[in-house]
Amino acid sequence: MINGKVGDVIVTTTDGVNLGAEHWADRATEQVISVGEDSHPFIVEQARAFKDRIRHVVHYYMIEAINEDRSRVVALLRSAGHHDLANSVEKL
Amino acid sequence: MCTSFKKELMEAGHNFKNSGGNTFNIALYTDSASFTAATTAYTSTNEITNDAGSAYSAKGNSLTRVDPTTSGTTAYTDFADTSWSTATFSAMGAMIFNDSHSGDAAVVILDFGALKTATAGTFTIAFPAADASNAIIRIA
Repeated sequence: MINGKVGDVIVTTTDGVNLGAEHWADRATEQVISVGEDSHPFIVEQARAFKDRIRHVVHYYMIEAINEDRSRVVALLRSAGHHDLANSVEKL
Repeated sequence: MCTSFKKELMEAGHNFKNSGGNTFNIALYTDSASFTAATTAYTSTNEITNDAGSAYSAKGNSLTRVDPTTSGTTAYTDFADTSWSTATFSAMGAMIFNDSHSGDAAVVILDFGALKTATAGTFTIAFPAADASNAIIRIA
């Protein structure tokens, strides 16, 4: 007997803002590490600690990547003579 | 899971492989949509429209496929999360369908459980963990 099953999706919405690096770091971590509920409690504890560490690392480097990209945008705006716009982006 | 999809699997009608697979889309629907296991194909009836802006287009987003795999006696496949930015719309559910298949064959219907609304923000659909117990499409 073959059974077809469908998983549950999670829908996240925002009003007036975009999802931040924290959300995407959570999603990236969920994709990389999953902890089996039936595993030995000691293994689960270790895996969760490792998962938290990975989440922090991913979040840190996401922020770094955002800052790098924003610096690039600022530089491009300045080189194109849009100094006011560049200053506004720099303050984000 | 649409019954026609199960039949089409036996007819080699769908390919979920990351490389060279079919194009699968996810379309969003209003609370007026009424789908059952007997649903066979994508329809624009009761598909959502933008309340403002142009973030959503008919037939929704194409999905990034993840190679099917197995764990124990269960086979499963997954998709990367998908999102619409600068979105102003509401949706109650979604349909994943095969945009490469003649007739846009339906795969699965997803019920969000409540009306989900984004206003000048981001509307994101996160797929479940890709494992034998949770993956979005599983054959056990």
